[in-house]
Amino acid sequence: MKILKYIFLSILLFSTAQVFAQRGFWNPYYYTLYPPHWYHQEHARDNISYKKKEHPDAYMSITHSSAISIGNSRSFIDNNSFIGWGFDYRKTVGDQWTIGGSIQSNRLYQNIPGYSIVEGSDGTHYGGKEFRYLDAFSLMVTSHYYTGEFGKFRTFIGGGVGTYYINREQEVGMKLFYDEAWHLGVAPEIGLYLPIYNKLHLSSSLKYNVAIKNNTRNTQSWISGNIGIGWIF
Amino acid sequence: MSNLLNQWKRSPFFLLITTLLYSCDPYGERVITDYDTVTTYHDQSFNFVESKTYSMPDSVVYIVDKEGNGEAMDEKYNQLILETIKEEMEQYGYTLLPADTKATADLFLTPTSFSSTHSSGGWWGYYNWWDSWGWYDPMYGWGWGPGWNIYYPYPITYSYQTGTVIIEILDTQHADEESRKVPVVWTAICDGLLESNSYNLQERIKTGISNAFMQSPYLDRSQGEAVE
Repeated sequence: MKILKYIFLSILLFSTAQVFAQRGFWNPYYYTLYPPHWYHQEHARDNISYKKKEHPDAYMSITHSSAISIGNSRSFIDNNSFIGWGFDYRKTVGDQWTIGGSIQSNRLYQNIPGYSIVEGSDGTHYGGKEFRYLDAFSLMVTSHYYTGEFGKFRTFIGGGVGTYYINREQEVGMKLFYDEAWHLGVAPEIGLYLPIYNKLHLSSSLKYNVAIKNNTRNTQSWISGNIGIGWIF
Repeated sequence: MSNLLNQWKRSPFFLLITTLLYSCDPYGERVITDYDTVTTYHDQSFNFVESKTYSMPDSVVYIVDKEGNGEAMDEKYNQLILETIKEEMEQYGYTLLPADTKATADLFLTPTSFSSTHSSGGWWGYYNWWDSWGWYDPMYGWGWGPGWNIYYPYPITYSYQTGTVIIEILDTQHADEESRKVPVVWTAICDGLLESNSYNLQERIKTGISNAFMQSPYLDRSQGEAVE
């Protein structure tokens, strides 16, 4: 597993380097949706006018999501996770704002060292090797504000409001304890969009996930780091 | 569109995403010993520290299915189970009395293993419990015999897998002559230990039984009244 993490990090670094090394990357007009300069020159002869697109209709991105547990979730799983994914759809409203929706899934996992003894509700004791899991699935309505201009490097700040479905599992040997619940929640987020090629862009963000306390469980929270690719409509 | 698809396939991001999908093992790495489970039940109203002596048979009872299928347990495992139990009971301050004497010990241990899988609790009712004891001689011992059975003062529901080792402690002082039943005050289930021919099987058996006692500190006579 450790070697896979190193491979993953190497590929990530290599891929990032490739993005910056691409021809014309540092030219702010190279990867925009605007037609290149030769388009204007050729079509100018035919008297074809071109109306510049001010902003995209929508952003869509698929991300890989890592997570760091905090608060109550940290007391259950004291570990970071590289297991997760997300999907974002953002409809533009003017130049600087989007509204949309997102779904995200994270799995936190911990291998508890040594021998664990867990007492069941009836006083029975279960002993063995313990593994803990926290699976979180979120469904959110989102809104974001963007800095900079469309087609260039942009940062954004915003967040989502919606629900979390969280399943917590505790395995002791072959015995499984689990509880599952729905939470209302919020997820403030900051991030960036980096144009890569044509309609493709790199998407990266940090999201503070807060699943608010419900009748059966305390507030659960974790920070997720998301990195992925996106498509502009 | 096809150009874009080809470019995407050649992109390092395609490799990145593919690698990510394959690199995520949602269950982590496991080895066979990670599945070893020791479950213990006890009668919370019973004070173990008041008991001083115990007795147990000189072999592990090996329960086979109704058709008699199942091989007999290897003698080395038989002795290992008995010796480990003796060591643990001695550490907890109990004195072993020979099973074939007329003296009645405070507690009676029953080490058992299964050759087949049973769903839910109550295997005692399924088999003729007392007749299973090869060591028993009606001329000696407790005065129990065919027709006697045991009962649990706590709820116990379990699926007994092949190779599971079960150790139970019977409270001989409260055997009910009228209903011919003996209460069980402690049950330890070491799950599936004898199921495989793993090279470290002996170590797993010893560890499993030791863990059963370790996770039951109320058995420790030296703890006195401090332990519930």
